[in-house]
Amino acid sequence: MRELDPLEIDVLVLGGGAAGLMAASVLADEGKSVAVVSRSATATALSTGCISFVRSDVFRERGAKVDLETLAHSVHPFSDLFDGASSTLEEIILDMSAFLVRALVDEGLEMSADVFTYHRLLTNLGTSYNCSLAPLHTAAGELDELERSDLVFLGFRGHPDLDPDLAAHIVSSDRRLKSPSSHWAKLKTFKGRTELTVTEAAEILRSEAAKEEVAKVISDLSEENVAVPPLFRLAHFEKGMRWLRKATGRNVFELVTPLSLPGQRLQEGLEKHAASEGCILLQDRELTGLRFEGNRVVEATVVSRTREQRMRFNALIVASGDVIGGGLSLEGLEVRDPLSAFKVGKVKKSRVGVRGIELKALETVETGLLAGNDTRLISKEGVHMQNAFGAGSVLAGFSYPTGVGLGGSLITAWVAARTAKEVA
Amino acid sequence: MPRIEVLVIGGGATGVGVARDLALRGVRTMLLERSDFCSGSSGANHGMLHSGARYALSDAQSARDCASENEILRKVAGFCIQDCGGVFVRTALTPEGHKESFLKALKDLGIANQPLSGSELRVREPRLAPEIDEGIAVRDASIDPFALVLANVRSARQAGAEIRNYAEVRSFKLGRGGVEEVLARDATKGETIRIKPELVVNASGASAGHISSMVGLSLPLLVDKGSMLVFDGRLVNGLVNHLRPAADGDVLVPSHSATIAGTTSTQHMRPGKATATKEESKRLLHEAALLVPAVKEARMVRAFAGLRHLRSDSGLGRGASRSHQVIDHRDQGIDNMVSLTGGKLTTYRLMAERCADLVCQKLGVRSRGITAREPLGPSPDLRQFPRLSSWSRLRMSSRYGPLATEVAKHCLRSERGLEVACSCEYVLRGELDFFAKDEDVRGLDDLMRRTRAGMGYCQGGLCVMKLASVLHERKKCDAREVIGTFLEERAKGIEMVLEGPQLRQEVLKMYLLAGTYGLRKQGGEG
Amino acid sequence: MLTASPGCIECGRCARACPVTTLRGFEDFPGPRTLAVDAPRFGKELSSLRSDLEKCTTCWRCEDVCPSRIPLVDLILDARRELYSLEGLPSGHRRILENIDAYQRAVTPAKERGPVVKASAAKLLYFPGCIAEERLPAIRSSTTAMLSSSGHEFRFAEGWSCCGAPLEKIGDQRRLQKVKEENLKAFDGYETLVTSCPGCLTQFVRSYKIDALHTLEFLKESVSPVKLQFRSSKTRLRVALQQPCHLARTIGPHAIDYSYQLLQRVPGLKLVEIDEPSRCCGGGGGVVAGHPDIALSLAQAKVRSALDAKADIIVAPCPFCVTNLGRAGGLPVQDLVEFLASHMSDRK
Repeated sequence: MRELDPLEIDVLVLGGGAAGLMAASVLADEGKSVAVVSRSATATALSTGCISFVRSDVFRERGAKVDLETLAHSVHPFSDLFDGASSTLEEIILDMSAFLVRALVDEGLEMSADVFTYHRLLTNLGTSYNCSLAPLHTAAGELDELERSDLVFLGFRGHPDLDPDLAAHIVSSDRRLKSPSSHWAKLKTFKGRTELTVTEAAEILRSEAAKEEVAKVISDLSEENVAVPPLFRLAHFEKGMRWLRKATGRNVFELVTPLSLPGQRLQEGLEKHAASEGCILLQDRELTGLRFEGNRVVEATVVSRTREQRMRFNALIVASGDVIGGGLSLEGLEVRDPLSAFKVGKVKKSRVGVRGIELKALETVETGLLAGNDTRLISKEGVHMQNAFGAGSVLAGFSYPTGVGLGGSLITAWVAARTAKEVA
Repeated sequence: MPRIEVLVIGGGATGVGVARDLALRGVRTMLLERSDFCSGSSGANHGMLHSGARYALSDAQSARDCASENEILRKVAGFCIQDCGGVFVRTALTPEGHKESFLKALKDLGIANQPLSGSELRVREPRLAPEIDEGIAVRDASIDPFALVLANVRSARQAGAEIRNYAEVRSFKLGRGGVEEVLARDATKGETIRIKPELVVNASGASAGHISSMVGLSLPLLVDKGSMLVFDGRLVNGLVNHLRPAADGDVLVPSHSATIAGTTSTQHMRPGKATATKEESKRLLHEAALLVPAVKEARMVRAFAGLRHLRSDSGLGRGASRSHQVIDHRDQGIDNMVSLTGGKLTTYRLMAERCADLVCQKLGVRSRGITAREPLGPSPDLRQFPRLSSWSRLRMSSRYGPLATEVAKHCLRSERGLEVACSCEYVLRGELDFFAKDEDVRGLDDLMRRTRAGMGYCQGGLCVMKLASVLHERKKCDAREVIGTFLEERAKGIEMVLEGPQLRQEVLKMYLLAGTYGLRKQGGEG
Repeated sequence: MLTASPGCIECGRCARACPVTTLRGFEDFPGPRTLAVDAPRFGKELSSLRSDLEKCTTCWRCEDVCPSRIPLVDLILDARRELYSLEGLPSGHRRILENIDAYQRAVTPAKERGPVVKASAAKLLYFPGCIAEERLPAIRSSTTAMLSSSGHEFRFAEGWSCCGAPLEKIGDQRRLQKVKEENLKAFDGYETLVTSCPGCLTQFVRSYKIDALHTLEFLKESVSPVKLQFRSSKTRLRVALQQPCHLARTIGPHAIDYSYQLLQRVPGLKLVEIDEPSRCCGGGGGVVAGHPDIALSLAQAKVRSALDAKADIIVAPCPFCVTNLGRAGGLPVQDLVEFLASHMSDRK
């Protein structure tokens, strides 16, 4: 295969999802040269785009506001990973979320900034959803605020992401809320289409005419609070939502929706920020080999279609995701490192965060790359690496069903970056 | 209210077949099924329409019955039959001389067959193991038991029968002539019904023993469990049988978008539903790979088990005769009750006819059965609906048979009818809605049986919300509960094959359903 | 035989990313998931989706965003191959076959032939491709000019045929094999193969499995920057780059990097970023010939993005992009190499 000129970089980040981009941004902010190699399809883009640090069962016991200590000790499995360093963990959560919020606001995604306000929000199915950080236009649908006021779920014929009747019905089982109403709108700008993709709906809603139509529909409703499905892509999100709220005078908020625009927005926002910090984003690349020298990784071979490129770096951050994102592979019941480079195992005190249907095999997703307290990885021969770090759901115990999803990914990425800084 | 002449207990193929046969003869018939139609053995087999070849060496009577019924069903129920043919293939495990005995038996029984050369075989089934170079083509076919049973229900109702699902027989009151009264609980209507039938037909399949014990009789019944493994995708074009004496896992059956590998045979002692074990799945996978090695790379979607009810005088396990028996309990002191045991899906109509013959004889009804000639419904032609995509039309025809025209119309007429609800199986919202408005449909499983939504490789994970939305719109059910029940039912079949790609799918479903939507706990989280 | 795809987790990203589904909706085009993953599970029944299968522009965007890396486009092409039959072909596809049989070209040859280049013993083979040869001769001439002025001797492959990419897309295996054999014979003895067309390039690399380069790759990797001097454009042109699917997602992002790098070397140019620069222009997959309305709609959407970014011109290193976007009208479109050549400095 033809070779491109080798790349010399301080830090190579493997994986372009939330964890990889966070680690990359932190290191770039510290003045390091960073390249992020990814295969373009991340689980972050499929996520809800909302982030939590505290498990909902703990939160429920303590009430709406959580103190630092509770936060630190309840976050699983951080209390294992950062044994005896709870004060550092508190700082980590504060510092990291401040960094994240600042980064995203620059790219047009304003998040709720207070990690201690644990939001209880609504999904597009009408179920309740807890998180610490959410886009402001989603956090505006705080259940505590909606408790005594009128709420309407507004669905658009042809828009795939909200069935307002179903959502309204499911919310009613949560008896805290006044029975919400549901409304279907038929937009002329959707031209009677049966089923748009959410991407196309967002394309149509960019236009002034479409926005005016939506505003008119909302203004004709009597309710104070209006829940809508994801309507805008990142470039038009803030402007679009603000405009709707202003034009209608209502509390129009976006429902938490997976497999849709919110995840793509978070992904895009993080990418843009990393790029603006000077990170080189190399998409559509696949790592095919790593070269080790003792307890250091020194070189990677990256392939993109017809070209191979060698990359030399001082530090490597592996943030390639779990079995969904592709950083871990599943052969039968065995979880493996597709790079065959690092040690894979289970974190001892981890729990499967899924109750109800006990599918034993799901326990296998507790397996991931093993790492020390400072996120340093272990080679498959058992050597503790000096300059290879893990971040995100690729780490044992951090895959979504077992860990806390994006929150966990971002925290490990922060720690990995801060530690890697020393050797980068 | 005019008196019910015959009460049929059991809504599987046999029961609905009897009800239809009798109704068409003008007999006032009622049928009670305790769960949903076709949710017992009829709904837990691999959907084989036997050519009879499989029994040529072991059970000549069954072989003959299957062969003749095969032809009859093709004529009257063609819509639910995929005429994909079948082959018996020779492997290293085929005993010496077996093929010759097999061919002789087929000849003696008059069962159509066609020996195939290696190259002919390969054209038919390109995925066969490379060592397989000899085969015999037979008139096996793939039949959809759900569509078949539901068509019988419809036809019986049209002929005046009263057919109820979710109606469980609770007790019998006996008198001098036998059964005087039957008490049943109709869960849909929420009422207790009392029926005073002239005659009772016990067609409750694996529960036939339980029903007969309620009137103090014991039935010579053996219950045998057969497990099956489902692979995603049609890995074979027609049925592939392993040419050898009956053993576990010696057939692969294409069914809609899946391939079913079956089956096992173990005595089932416990009451209640049967589940496939992990060990059985492994064995079935191994056996299937002998025929089509590609199954090792295919995605295992689920495993399930069905109960065979066999006459206990017929021997044990695989050797047991599959032929059916109509038992007149007059010999045991109950004049007006008849029980059915044994039989196969392929011979359901014959069994039903024989039962109906006996019933009519006892009732003094001079009427002959017409089910051998009377079609279960016309074949639909959906080309009159160009607004429906060709793919939709094809899927609907293959699923709904005579009902497809009505379903198609409904999709076009209802506002959201053309939205795709289940993408694996390509089921439109209108299709779901059509059945959701039926009184028979209470939960998502019922919708699934009627439309195949949720039967694909995601096992309902990504479409369950849409199913619930439709049901809620029609029935005002508790959406959370129906979703939970549905997913739990699916989980039972997935657990023993959960590995590799299916495990990964379940991880995403967990992200979504348990994680984000919190459908199995209080609230989801990020 | 069509294989079922075990990797799919039904996340729906492919459908959301598909330019044809996004433009036309599920009613018109069921999308990559249905065509490549779900429908093939029904075995031979896939044949009823034949017409829908034709509507895919093979832009590879679905594969790009698939978390399972399912080779969706290959699966669609497999299906086309499996279902191929002369009777079912759209008339546009039939014309392509007729042209190949009669002229060894996917399109009818131009009436005026370009200047004949004498045969030589050069080891560098230049392959213009059917479109550059017969429809956009300026691409051919500007490329040959650049090759010459940078000191590279080249030759044409005598008796070359259409690379076969349209045949690959239509599913005609027999003709594909024939043109491949003809070309391999015509290429005999080459050391470097350079082409103007990403479609041809993709075909050579993936199907012929030979090493080949796009003109841009050759210019960046084998020509000294000293030999590539550019002068200022006459006006302050706002240029939008269209990233061809058959370059970005089959040959590699480096080719797109090269495009930007070369453009940036033309003084006085303003490079404008258009929304989704790698989204398909509609020119690929045989859709222009089979379903011209879809190809046109996609092109129009592209031109709209460029107009939104206030571009004065769209450049694309691909004759198919150039032709299809040109059909949409509204903005001038030019091949990138042709554009660069027209800005070459006269100084040596």
